[in-house]
Amino acid sequence: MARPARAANGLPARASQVVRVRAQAAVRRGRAGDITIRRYPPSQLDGGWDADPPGRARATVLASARICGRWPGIRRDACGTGPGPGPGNANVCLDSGNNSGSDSDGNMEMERWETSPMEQALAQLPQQIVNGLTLGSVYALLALGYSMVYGILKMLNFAHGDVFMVGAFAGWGVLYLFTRSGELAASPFAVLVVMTTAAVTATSILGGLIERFAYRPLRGSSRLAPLISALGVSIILENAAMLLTAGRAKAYQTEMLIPPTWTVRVGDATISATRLAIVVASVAIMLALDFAVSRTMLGKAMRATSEDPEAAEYMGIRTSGVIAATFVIGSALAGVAGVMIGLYYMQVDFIMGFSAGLKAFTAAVLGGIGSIRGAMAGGIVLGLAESLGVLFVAPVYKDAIVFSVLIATLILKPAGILGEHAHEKV
Amino acid sequence: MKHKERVVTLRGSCDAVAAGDARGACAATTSGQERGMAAAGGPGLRALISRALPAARSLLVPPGAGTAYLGVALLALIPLLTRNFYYLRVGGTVGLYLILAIGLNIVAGEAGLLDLGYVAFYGIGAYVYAFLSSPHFGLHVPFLLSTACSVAAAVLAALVVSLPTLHLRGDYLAMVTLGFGQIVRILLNNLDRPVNITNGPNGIVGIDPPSILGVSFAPLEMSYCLIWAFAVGSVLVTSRLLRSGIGRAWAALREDEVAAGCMGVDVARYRVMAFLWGAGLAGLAGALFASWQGAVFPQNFTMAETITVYCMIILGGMRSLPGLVAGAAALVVLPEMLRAYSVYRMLIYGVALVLLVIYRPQGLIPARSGSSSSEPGRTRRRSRRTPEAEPCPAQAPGARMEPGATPRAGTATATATGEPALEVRDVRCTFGGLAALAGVSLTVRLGEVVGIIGPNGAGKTTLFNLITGVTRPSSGDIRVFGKSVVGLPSHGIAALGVARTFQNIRLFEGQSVLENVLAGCHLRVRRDLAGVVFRTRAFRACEASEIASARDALRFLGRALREREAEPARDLAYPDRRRVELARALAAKPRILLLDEPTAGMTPDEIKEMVDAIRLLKDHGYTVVVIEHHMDVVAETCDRVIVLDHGEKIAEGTPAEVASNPEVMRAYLGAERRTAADRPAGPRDEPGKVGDTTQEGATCASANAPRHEQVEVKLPRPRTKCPGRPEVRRGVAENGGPLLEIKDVHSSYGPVRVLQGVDLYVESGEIVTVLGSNAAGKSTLLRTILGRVRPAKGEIRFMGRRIDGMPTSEIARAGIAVVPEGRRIFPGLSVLENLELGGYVLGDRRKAAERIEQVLDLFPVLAERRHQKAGTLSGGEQQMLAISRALIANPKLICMDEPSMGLAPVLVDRVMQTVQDIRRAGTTVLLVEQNARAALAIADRAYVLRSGRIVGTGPAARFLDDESLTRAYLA
Repeated sequence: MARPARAANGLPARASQVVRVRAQAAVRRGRAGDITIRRYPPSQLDGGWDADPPGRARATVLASARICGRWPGIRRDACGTGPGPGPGNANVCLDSGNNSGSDSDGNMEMERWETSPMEQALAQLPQQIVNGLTLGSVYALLALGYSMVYGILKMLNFAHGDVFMVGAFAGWGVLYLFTRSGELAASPFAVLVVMTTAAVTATSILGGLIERFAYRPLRGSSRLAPLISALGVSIILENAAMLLTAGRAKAYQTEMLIPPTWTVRVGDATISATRLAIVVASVAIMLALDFAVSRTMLGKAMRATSEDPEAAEYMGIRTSGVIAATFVIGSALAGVAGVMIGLYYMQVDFIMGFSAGLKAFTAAVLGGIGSIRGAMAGGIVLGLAESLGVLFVAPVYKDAIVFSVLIATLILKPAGILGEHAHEKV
Repeated sequence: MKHKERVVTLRGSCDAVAAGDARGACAATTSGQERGMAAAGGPGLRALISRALPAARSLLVPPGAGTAYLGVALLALIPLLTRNFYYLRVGGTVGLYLILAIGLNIVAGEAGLLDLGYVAFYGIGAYVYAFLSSPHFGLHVPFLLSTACSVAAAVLAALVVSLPTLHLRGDYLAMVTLGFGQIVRILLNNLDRPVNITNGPNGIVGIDPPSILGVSFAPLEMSYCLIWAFAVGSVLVTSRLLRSGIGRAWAALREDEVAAGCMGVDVARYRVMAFLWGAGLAGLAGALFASWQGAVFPQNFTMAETITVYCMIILGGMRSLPGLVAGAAALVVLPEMLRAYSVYRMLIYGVALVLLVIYRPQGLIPARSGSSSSEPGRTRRRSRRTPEAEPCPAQAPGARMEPGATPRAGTATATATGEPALEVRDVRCTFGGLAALAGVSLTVRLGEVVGIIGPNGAGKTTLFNLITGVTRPSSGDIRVFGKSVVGLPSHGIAALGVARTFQNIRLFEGQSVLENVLAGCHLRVRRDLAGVVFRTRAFRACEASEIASARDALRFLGRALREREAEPARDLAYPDRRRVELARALAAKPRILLLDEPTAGMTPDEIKEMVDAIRLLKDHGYTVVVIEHHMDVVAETCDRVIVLDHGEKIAEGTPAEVASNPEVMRAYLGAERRTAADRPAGPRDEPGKVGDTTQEGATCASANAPRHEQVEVKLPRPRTKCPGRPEVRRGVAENGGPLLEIKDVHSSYGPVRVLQGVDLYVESGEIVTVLGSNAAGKSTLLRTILGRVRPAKGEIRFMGRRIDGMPTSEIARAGIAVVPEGRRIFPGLSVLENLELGGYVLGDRRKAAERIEQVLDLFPVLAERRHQKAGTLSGGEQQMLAISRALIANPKLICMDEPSMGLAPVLVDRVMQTVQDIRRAGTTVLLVEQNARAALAIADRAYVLRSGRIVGTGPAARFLDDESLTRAYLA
């Protein structure tokens, strides 16, 4: 087996994951030189780099580095770090051609930012907080689905993350249909609305079907059974998506929908309109859901079913219907979240559901599973933990941080921030 | 490829060995087994195997599974015979996955712990081996040492994961392990910087092939045999573990942790142990994998691997060793055969998982009940080799039960010595503000049989839970033989000699009858690893003597049980289940035996047998505390009776003293309360007949009487409304029949036949009460009406329409509201929201809101607290809420299940007053009550239920002074 090739910046490139580019590093010390451009996310598929299609890559820019050069064949996305120097996640788009494994004529320059690491980190804090809030609100939307289902059925809906992925692809499908030679065929706003509607419709139907065919037959059986069934559904969805997309990531042309130049400056932080839209929309949806659950009759029936299904039946509540409705609503939220994550990362792939689902579940547990407001709080906390972890620890460990938070929460406070613990009656 | 090279260079030298291995690789071909395995495992293994062989033969080929093993053996031979490189690779992979599957089966299958990070331990094992035996760090530790380190590292990691997560259950544990698995993968992937430890995604290559004592196992045939030798060894050791006290303890904690703890199983310790064994096997598989593949990469240890192994054990059949072999083989070989469709592999897995779990949850080769533990037949077969039964370590000499004789108590005393065995001092226990026990003190002396009686909710079971460490008292002290047990875990208290049965029987359902009873022997059986794995003489002797004493305990409770000992507990009929539970407690040879309603749900004959059994136990010096509600049982068995009510001790004395105690009378039947103003002086016709019926019903024998006799004595229906009643609105059914009519309803609760032909009707505008002691079938009757229990026979009509078989929600929509037992309000919702849900069926918010205001006018306390969470209300307020919630939808009929339960007398009056108000407002009430006096004071008619049959019916007034009623309860 060949030794890993070394990239021009002197760092070991990862044969399977790193786009080998000739990068010129002007940085000499510290982690600032630590730049890797890797396919995002690392493919789980067999096959080497050579087989990879031209697609999107993502640059993880650490600490004080910034990408400032021109990079033929590689378009940098304004949605990433913005024009100013700063760490963050820059999304770069690899056009076809130059990435077949040999050196491309990419040229990348990095500048060192003349401050101490702590100062640098603090300087990036506002930006990362915005990132964290954005991600967090998406996690919260997804966490709601977990929490609602767990609240009622006391089961982990492992397939929820994959329903979210299906939503993201449904949105992409609409976007793809409306794109004519790189331009949108309709007004961006209309396309966004149609995308969201399509995603919500697709995921609601999917959620209902999953409940009906994979979970309902198992009601009343052992606790393990629905969990395994959910794992099975998750595997089915993931692999069906992989086959349908040939394992390729699909690009979300966010810039066509929301111009990257639309930004808001708050202090040192530049907030792109996309992020703002994601946060605002999530908060609005969560407020609406909170209202629906606490005020409408269906919401009350849901809470009653979750607290005591038998007593709920005595009240004349058709609990099977309520459970199905819970799945449908949770899945619809996942659909919205799917479109949002597409807009945020500018790409979607078949594997995204798994880790996003795990994080959302973590958020739900963190907030106290079964509690709707807890799920929201947990999502935000988790999003912030992740983005601050990127800032203060290392980006490659951001998922590890998320899982550490999950384990610590479960060990120290299994009931979560807002949850309650039930005792068994002997 | 490395392996090819190894094969080429070393082929000549090892042909002979490979031929030997050809025989050795198959697990169950007994002819060549010993030689082949010795060749593969070296002289050290030889000794082990020769000792293990006779047992292995019987262990590995359980009847019925023989063909499966033979098939595997033949399949495992093919690669060796063909010397085909590809077949050897596939076959070796099957062996590796078999080890993984066995390990996961211990964790998830036997101990029931959902470990979703299982592959992390596999990865840790593989990487530790790679660190120690590769050019990566330049270390080349010998194979066996390196493998041992891998196993140790995996076990250590499992210890780190499992210790802090002991208190987590089910899904939460799954999430922690899942997170752990992800973290390990991320670390493997990224720990190449700042210091290169794992070499990141490029993995570690050039790993040394295995070599033992200078013999290289580099050739593929050799490592193939090595893997299979380890796989066979793992199967062997695991199957022995599972067929010992350790395996039974795992099964017990999987089936029922509370019961397991009360039988002396240290639940926490065994959970950790299961985790460690699983991880150890995964570590072993990891080391073998690393040496077999010659390289390790992070992507070998992803979540998908965990899922694959889960698929294997679920597909093959959890807890079934042949199933595991089949599962591992199927999931490795099938994808290879379908290589052309490999992209669909995971998709097929997913579909297979869902379909399997829905249509064949037990897997391809399901575990027979008891396959994982001792099998009586086998013991018998080997009995000639079994040494004379020796006493087990913790067993006092002479304490073993004589075959056919009554079990003897752990202490040799035959009569009460006066020495206090159990002391309870001023114990209090509160659940969320509700005092279940409010300062109870009692002493039980050695050799005494003490009965504890009291109405529902008196705190009897709570007391047992406190004594056995299931719940902790809020204050007070409990001493067992002078030692305070407050704060001790259940198994620690069991070790002091306390054993119990449970009110709602807690058997290990999936286990065989004998295994259930053997679980009671847990504290005495040998569980030392050497003994278990090598089946030492002492171990076999101990096991045999415990099996014998378990059988004695079974025989003591009925010869029939002894014959059914191999059947799974869940297949037993209800009285047998009670007996098995008692046998399990007896098998522990307890010094104090706690029996929680041992005769509940039994027929008179069965009760008599149980009474005899308890008396025999007493004669043999057992100290017994028994919760009972059959007063005749108490009278016949107990030296002393303690009466609890509302968490307080209200009386103590001999059964006769207690039965005549007015205080006790009041506790059971309610306060003497005559609401003459409310009660019309109805015509008292045919008083004698009612008396006769109840009297008959009160004695055990006549409860079995043919039903038509009761029909004969039934009173004519009062078709006309009672004189003097307030005028009520009547929602009479179209056909003019009664509002609710129940005809010959039989229904069962699981295996228990609770209702055995009940006839009952409720006229519009009536208050009808159904009376009866605990477990008479009152609640089941209501649950049957409400569609929670489907009647096996008979019909139920509401307003002329059949409602049996309808879902509960539809019955509610038809106009029947419920005040369920234990109130069942929604504690997390506000009072107002609870009421709104009561109006759910109205489907009209405005109408519901009007109704709520009307109802709240009746209950000013609730109106004040309308925005408060219902869970924060006091018990009486919660009851009011439950009643008002049932009123919102304007139901035709309200069914109330023990509305007075757990309420102070003054509140009982209040509730009963409310029931009358409800009727006055035009709603019919079916009132199920244990507090007979309170219910009779307001009801028009009454039914008395005993053992699932109506044993008396008539106008309520008639029952009030009737002594027969008292007897139905306390006789």
